[in-house]
Amino acid sequence: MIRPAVDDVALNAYVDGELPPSQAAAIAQKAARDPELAARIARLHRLKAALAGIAEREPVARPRRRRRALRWTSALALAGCLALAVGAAALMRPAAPAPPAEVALHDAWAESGAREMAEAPVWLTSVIEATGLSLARVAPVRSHDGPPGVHYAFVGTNECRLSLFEMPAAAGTDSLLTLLVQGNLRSARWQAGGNGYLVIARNMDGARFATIVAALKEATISRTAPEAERIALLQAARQRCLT
Amino acid sequence: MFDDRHHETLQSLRRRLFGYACALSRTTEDAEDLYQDALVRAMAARSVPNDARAFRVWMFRLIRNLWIDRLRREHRRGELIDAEAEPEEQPGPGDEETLVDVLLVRQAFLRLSKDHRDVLALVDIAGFSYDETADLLETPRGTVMSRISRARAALAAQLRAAPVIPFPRQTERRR
Repeated sequence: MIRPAVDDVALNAYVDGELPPSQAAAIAQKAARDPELAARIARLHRLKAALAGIAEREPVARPRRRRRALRWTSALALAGCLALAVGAAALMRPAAPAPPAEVALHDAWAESGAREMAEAPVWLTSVIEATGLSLARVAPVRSHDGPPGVHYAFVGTNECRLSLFEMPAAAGTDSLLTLLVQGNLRSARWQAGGNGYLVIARNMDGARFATIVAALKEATISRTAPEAERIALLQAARQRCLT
Repeated sequence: MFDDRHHETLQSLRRRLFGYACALSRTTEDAEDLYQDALVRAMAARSVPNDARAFRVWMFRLIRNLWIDRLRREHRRGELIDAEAEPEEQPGPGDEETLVDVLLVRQAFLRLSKDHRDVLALVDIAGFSYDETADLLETPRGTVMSRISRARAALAAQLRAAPVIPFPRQTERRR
């Protein structure tokens, strides 16, 4: 068998642009004189291009396989799994900014530090308490052009403040979760059961926010208190606030 | 801790990361799981590299390690072709005609050994340099070079063995 003018390892490195300039130039000169060598180079380029083409796809937003996630045994894994839905969605689609009116309501409440006797559905309080927050206030929210909604305000042990707005969903509202970071403001939106949900917090750690939002989203869909095991894992997965 | 800077870097990497996950996985669903599992691990990690290059390598390594774990779990190594098996011969003239169908290429790619898929996915799909690939695989650069060469030869051999239906453009050229 005749030994090729350039061995395959060098030729592949040439196609990958990994040879020093002098060696690359030498191969280029040989290829100019040797059609067979030029054909080998062309084949490798095609192969490389074909491979690059097989994976040129965008990540697809789809619900995670919930059952599988629940089988996980570590609290960290659960925290991550919950955070995932938010994180992945945030990476996959552009998010609309949080509405200024709701941000203003959140900021006004957070600044006032108001805490009052408040009640919320068990499915909501059980989840939110498991994440280390407690219900501080429930207030109606009136919009100028639609039916009223509810503002649930929650406080964490390190004075984290988080608002959940539940409003009748507008037509065409996206059911997928979107998340946005604007400076120190984090917001998340989704739709479930005919309602639109908006969560707002400032100065909150991203993973913690994602964990809470993912837990809230699941709760708004299932409308049931989570299983004891899930609550325990959520409690174990708490992360600190930045404030 | 995973912060906004990492999040931004991840935004720019997502296509490549997902492409890498697709290349390693046999189904889109598996790829999505792999990709999402890697995001989970990244966001839950206590220590995340701050340097952009190190973070990039770290993210791909997360996917790769998860993939290897999955292979081990599923005892699928036995289904794969011998890692270092040499193809019988180098691709001959005209073989490029077979490189016309993405599905065929993907099927051929998935028939490669784990090591060959691994290195091709990193260099051709994720776009890593040889040095970065060597760093990621924790192997010498020379090994990456020889493995790339063998992997492409194996892929070409797989494509030769595949039933091929050339696109019309290719058929025209053959006349």
